[in-house]
Amino acid sequence: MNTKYVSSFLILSLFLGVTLLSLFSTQVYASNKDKHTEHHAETDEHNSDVGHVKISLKSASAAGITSITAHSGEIKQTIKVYGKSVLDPKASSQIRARFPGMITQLTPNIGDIVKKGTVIGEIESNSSLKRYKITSPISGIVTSRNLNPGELADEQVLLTIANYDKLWVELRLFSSQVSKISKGQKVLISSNNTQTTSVIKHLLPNNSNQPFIIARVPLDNTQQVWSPGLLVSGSIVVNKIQAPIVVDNRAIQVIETNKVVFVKNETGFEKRQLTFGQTDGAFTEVLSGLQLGEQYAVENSYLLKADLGKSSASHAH
Amino acid sequence: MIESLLRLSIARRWLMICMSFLLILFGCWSYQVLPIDAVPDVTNVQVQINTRAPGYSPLETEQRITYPVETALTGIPYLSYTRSLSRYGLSQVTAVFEEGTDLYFARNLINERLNGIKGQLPPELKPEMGPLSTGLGEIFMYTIEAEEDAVQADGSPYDATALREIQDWIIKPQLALVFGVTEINTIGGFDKEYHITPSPEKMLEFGITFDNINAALRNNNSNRGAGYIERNGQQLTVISPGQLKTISDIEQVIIKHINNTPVKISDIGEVAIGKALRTGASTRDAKETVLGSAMMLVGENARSVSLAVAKKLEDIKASLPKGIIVEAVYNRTTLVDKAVYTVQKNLVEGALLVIVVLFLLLGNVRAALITAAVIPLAMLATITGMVQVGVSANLMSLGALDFGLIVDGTVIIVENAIRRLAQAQHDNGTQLSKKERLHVVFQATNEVIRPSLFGVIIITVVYIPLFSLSGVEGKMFHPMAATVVMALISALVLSLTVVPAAVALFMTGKISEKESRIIIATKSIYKPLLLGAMKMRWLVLSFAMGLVGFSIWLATTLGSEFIPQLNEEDILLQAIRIPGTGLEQAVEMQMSLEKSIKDFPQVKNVFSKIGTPQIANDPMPPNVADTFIMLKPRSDWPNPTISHSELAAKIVKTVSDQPGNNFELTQPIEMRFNELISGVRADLGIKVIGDNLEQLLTYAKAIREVIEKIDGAADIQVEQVTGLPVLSIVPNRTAIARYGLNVSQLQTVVATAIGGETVGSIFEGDRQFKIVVRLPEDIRRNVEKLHELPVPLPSGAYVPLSEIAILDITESPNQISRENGKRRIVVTANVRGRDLGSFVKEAQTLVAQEVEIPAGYWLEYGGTFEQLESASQRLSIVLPLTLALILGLLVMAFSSVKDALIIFTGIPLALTGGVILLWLRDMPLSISAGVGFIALSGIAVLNGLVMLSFIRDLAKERGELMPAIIEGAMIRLRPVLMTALVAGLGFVPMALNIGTGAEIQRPLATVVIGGIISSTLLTLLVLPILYRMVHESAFAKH
Repeated sequence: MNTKYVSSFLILSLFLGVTLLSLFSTQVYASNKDKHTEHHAETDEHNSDVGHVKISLKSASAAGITSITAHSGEIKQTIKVYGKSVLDPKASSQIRARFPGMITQLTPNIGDIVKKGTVIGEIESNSSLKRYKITSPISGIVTSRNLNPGELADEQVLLTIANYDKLWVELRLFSSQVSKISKGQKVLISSNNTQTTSVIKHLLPNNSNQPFIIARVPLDNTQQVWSPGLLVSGSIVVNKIQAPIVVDNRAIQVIETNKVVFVKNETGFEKRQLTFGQTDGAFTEVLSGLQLGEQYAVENSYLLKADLGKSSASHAH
Repeated sequence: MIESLLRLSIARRWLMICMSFLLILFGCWSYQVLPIDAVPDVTNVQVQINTRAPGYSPLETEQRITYPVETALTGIPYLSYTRSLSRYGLSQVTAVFEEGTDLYFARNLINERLNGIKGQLPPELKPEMGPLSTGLGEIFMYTIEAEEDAVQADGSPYDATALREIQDWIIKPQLALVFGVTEINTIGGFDKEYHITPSPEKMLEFGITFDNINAALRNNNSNRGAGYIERNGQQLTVISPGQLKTISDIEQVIIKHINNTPVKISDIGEVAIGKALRTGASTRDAKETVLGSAMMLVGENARSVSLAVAKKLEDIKASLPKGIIVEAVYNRTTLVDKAVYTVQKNLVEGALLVIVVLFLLLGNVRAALITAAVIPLAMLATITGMVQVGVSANLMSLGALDFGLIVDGTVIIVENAIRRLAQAQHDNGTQLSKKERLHVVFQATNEVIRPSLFGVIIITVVYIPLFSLSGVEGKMFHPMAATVVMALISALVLSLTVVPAAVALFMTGKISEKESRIIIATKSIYKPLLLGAMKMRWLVLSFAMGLVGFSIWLATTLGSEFIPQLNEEDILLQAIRIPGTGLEQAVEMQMSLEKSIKDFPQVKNVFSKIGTPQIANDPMPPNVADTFIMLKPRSDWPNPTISHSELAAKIVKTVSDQPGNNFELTQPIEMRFNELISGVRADLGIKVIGDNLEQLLTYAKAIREVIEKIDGAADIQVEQVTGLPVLSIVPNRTAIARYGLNVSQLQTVVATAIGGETVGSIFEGDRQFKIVVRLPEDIRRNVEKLHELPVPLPSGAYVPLSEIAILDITESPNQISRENGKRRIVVTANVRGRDLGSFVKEAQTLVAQEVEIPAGYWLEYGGTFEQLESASQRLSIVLPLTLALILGLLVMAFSSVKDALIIFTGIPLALTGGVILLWLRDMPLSISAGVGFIALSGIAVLNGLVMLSFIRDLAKERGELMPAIIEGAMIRLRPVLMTALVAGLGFVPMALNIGTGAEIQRPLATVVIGGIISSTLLTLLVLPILYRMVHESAFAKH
C-alpha cells in the first residue's frame, strides 16, 4: 500500500515537473515587453482633436517661431508677362524726296540729333529743275542714311529719323491671363537693372494668327535708358484691394486640405481655420476667423503644424 | 568498453599528459583566430535591392521599378519572402532567404534576374544590390570637420560641400582598402556640382531654350583621340583635348549666334559651384558635418576590423588638408571590449571560486590542482571547437559557461579516487606500491565513471531543446548551446583520459585524506537532520510538494519578457517629424535638438543622421533622424548612481519642449536589428493586403477602431501612407498641341528648370563632378510665380506655363509598402498587462466579426508574436521529449523505472529554488532564465544520480536498506556538496555582475544558483526518504 502511495507521489511530481516546464514556456511569451518605448507628450491625443499646441514663449523663440499682430493691409495682385519694347510708330520718320531729283545737300549723318523743322537737305527736282528744301518733320536721331549728295533720289528713303524719347512696350497676354487685365492698370516694366512704372493704354484684340493679345504700355525714355527691341517683363497690377485684415502667407499651413494659421493663446498657439480671399503671393486677405490685434505665428509656423501632427508620425518599415 | 579505455588511460598515463600538451598548443592557436564580438549576429539572410530614381514619385516608383523588380525575383530557390518600399526617389526591395542559404549564391541569382529585366526598367535607372553586410555591419563611424580658421586653397572657409569632397575623394578611397570593409557609406554635406543657372528672361531675349543650353554644353565637353602619325621614325600620338576644366571655360561656351554675334553661357546666366538636391544630411554637436561609416563584410570579426579601420584613419590624417579634423564617433571595439571584459571577469572569477572550493572541501592540494587543471584544458578544447564549427565568442556563447558544471564529472572521480586511495593506504598501513596504487585508482574511477558519465551526458542532453529554436532566438541561443555542449563533451573526454592518468601519476606518496573541518561539521549536522527527516517523512514530503505548488503559483505572478536587452550604454533617440518635412527644416530642428542634448554633462558627443545616406541601406525619409547620444564612462558622471533608463528619460523630457518632434528611445544595435529582421516591430501587426491604396487605408482605419476597444491594447498605429505634399504640373494636352509642343518638351522644361538636368562632368584630376543646368534658387522656390514661367516654343516665341499646364498642390502617398507582390498597410499594436496569446485571439475574432473585407483583399497577422508562438510551440513539444529522454537515460543507467523516477523528482524541486530566487531579486521570466532552468535540470539530476547509485550499490552489498541509505548518504554528502557548490559558485560572479552585457546572463545565473540550493537540500533529504519508501517493501520481503 505504501508503494502505491509512493508511486503515485512520484508520478505526480513527474507530472508537476512537466507542467511547470511547459507552463513556464508559454508564460514566458505572455508579453509584457516594453523594450521599445515611444514617447508621447500626454496632451497629444487631446491636442490633435482640439488643435492646441502647448509651447512656452521661450521654447517658441528658441525654435525660431516669430509672431506678428494681425493688421489691415493692401493686397496687390500682379501678373508677370513679357514683351518687347518698340519704337513709337509715330516717332519715326522715313524721309523721302517728294519729287525725284538729284540730291544737292544732305546734312545729317547717322547719330546726329535733328530738331523738328530744321533743314536737313536739298534736292534738285528732275522735272522742274528747281531746288527745294527738305525739313525734318520730327525731332530725333538719324538712324539711317542711304544716299549721298550727287546721287539720284527717287522713291528710296533718304534718311530715317527716330525719336526715342517715348517708346512703347508691347506685352503679350495669353488667354489664361487676359481675363484679369484691362486698360488703365498699372504696370511695372523691368529689364535687366532698370525699372519704371507705367499704365496700360491699349489692348489690341486678337489677330486670328496670334495666340496672344497685345497690351501697349507707354514708356518714357527721356533719360535714354531704354532702347527698342529689348525683352522686358511687365508686372501688371490686376487687382489692388484694401483688406481690413491680411495675413502673411508664410503663416498659412495646410492641415488635411484645410488652410489654417496658428493664433497665439495663453498656453501657446491654437490652430484656426480661416476663410481666405484674394492673395498676392505675400499676403492674403482674411474674410473670417481672425480678429484685428490677434497675434499669429509667421516664421517657422511649420513647426507648429509638425507638433500637432507628431502624435501620428511614425516610422515603419 | 569504458573499462578498457580507463585501463588504457592509466596504463599510458604519460601519453595522455603529452596529448593534453598538444591540446594546449592547439587551443592557444585557436584563441588567436577566434572571432570575438559583443552579441551574435541574428539578422537573417537578406539582400536589399535599391534603385535611386530622382524625381520619381512613390506611385511612379512602385509602378515602374518596384513592381518589375519584385516580379523578377519570384521563383528564386530558397527565397522566403520579399517586401518592398517605394518612396520619393527610391525603390527598395528586400529579398529574405531561408536560414542557411549562402549569401553569395543568393546575390548571384538575384543579379541574374536583374540583368534579365534591364529592358523593362526606365533606361537611366540602375538597380543596385545593397552591400555585403548585415544588420551589425556598421561598426565604425567618423565625422569630418574643419577648424574655425581653416581655409581652402582658394581662401574661402570650408563648407559642407568641401568637406564632402574630402570624404569622397581622399578618405573614402583609402579606407575602403582596409581588409574586412565592404563599403564606406557617407551621409551629409553636399555633392559638389557645377551649376549653370540661366535667367528665363535672358533666355527669352535671345530666343534660347533649355535644349539649346544642354546641347551646347554636351557638345563642347570632350576629349577625343585622333590616332597617331608616324614621322621620322617617331610615333606622334594625336589628341584633341576639349574638356571643360574651370568655371570660366563653361562661361565661354557658345550657345548660338545671333547676327554673327555669339551668345555665351555667361550672357544668359551664372555659373557657380552649387548644391545638389540631397536626400540625407548629418549634424554633430549642433553643426552640420559629414559622417562616414565603415560597413563590415559578412562573416568578418567586428573587433579586428574596427581596430584596423581606426588605425587606417590615423594614417589617413597625414594626407588631409591642413585644418581638417577627422574623428571617430562610434567604434564597435568599445562595446566588444566591454562585453568581453564582462565575460572574462565572470569566467575568471568563477574559475577562482571553483578552485577555492575544491581546496577547501577536498582537503588535498594535489587533487584540487588536478581538478582545477581541467578548467583551462576544457576551455581550450572548447575554443578549438568554436573555431572549427564557426561560432564566435560573444556574450551569448560564452555566457552560459559555468566551470563548476564542467568539472562536476571530474570532481566526482577525483573525490572518489582520493577517498579510496586514503582508505587503501589506511588499510595497508604503509604507502601503496605503484601497481597497487594504479589498481586502486582504476577501481575508484570505474566505480563512479558510469554515474559520472551519465550525469554529464544528461547535462549535455538538456541543452538539446535549444537547438530546436529557430529564427532570432535560434541564432541567439544556438551558439550558447553549442559552446556549452562542446565544453561538456571535452570535459567528458578529459575525465575519461587525462584525469585518471593525472590521478594515477600525481597522487603518489602519502595521501592525506583529512576530511576538512567544514565537511566534518556539515556531516555532524546532516546526520541528525537526515534521521529526523526519515522519521517525519510524510511531513517532509508534503512540505516539498507544497513548495513545488507554491513556486508554480509564484511563477505565474512574475513578469515576463522575451530576452533581456543588452545595455549598449549609448542612447539612440529617433526623432520623427510629420511626413513632408523638408530636409533643411529637419536639419534646423535637429541642430536645436542636439544643442539641448549637449548640455547634459553625461554626454560625450551627440551626432545625427537625417534622411538617407549615399548607399540606401537604411532609407529614412527626411522627416526621420537618428540621434546618436554617446555617453561618457560612468565614472565621469556627476551622479554615477542614476541608471541609463533614468538618464534617457530625462533627456527625452527636456527635448520634448521643442515643438514638432516625436521620439522613440532605443539603442544603436537594437534599432538596426529591429529594422532588419522583420517588417513589423510591434507585438502584433495586422497587415491589410490588396490593391487600392485608399481602400487599404479605410480598412486599416476600421481595424484600428476595433482594436482600440480591446483590453490591453496600446500604441496602436496605422502605417503612414499619405501626407506627402506634391506639386503636380499637369500638361493641358489641347493647349500644348495648339502651340506645337508635345508633352515631353513641356516636361523637359519643367524637369530642367526645377529639378536640374545633368549635362556632363568636369574632371579635376581623379575627381569627377557633375555639370547641372537649373533655374536660379529664388525663381525655383517661388511656387506662386511658377505659372508665369515662360516656356520657349520651337518657333522662338514663348508661352507662360499656366497656358499649357495646370499647377496643383495635393497630398499624395509618401510611401507604398508591398509584401510578396501585393500592396499592404500595417496596423500595429503593442500589448500591455495581459498575455499575448489571448489578446491575439480576441483581436482575430473581433476583426473577423466587425470589419468587412471584400474579395481581393485579405488580412495577415504578424509581428513578434509569430516568433513567440512558433518558439513556444516548438519548445512545448521538445521540452517534454527531452524530459522523456532524460528519463530514458536514467532508466538505462539503473534498469529501474522507479529509481529513475526518484531521481527525476529532483527537477521540480530544483525549479522551486530558481523561481523563488528570481522573485526575490525581482527579475522577470525570460528565455535567459529558461536556459538557466534547462541547465538546472541537468545538475539536479546529476546530484540525485550520484547519491542514488551509491546507495543502491551499498544496499545490494550490505543487504540492509536503512543503514545503507544513511551510510551512503553520509559518504555521498561531500561529492554532492562539492558538485553543488562548485556549480553554484561558478555562477555567482555572473549573477552579481553589473558590467556591459551582464543583464543577459544575470537571470540565467540567478536561476541556477537558486535552483542548486533547493535541489541540493531537497536531494539530501527527500531522496533518501523516497528511496526508502519505494524499496522498503522489497527489502522487507527478504
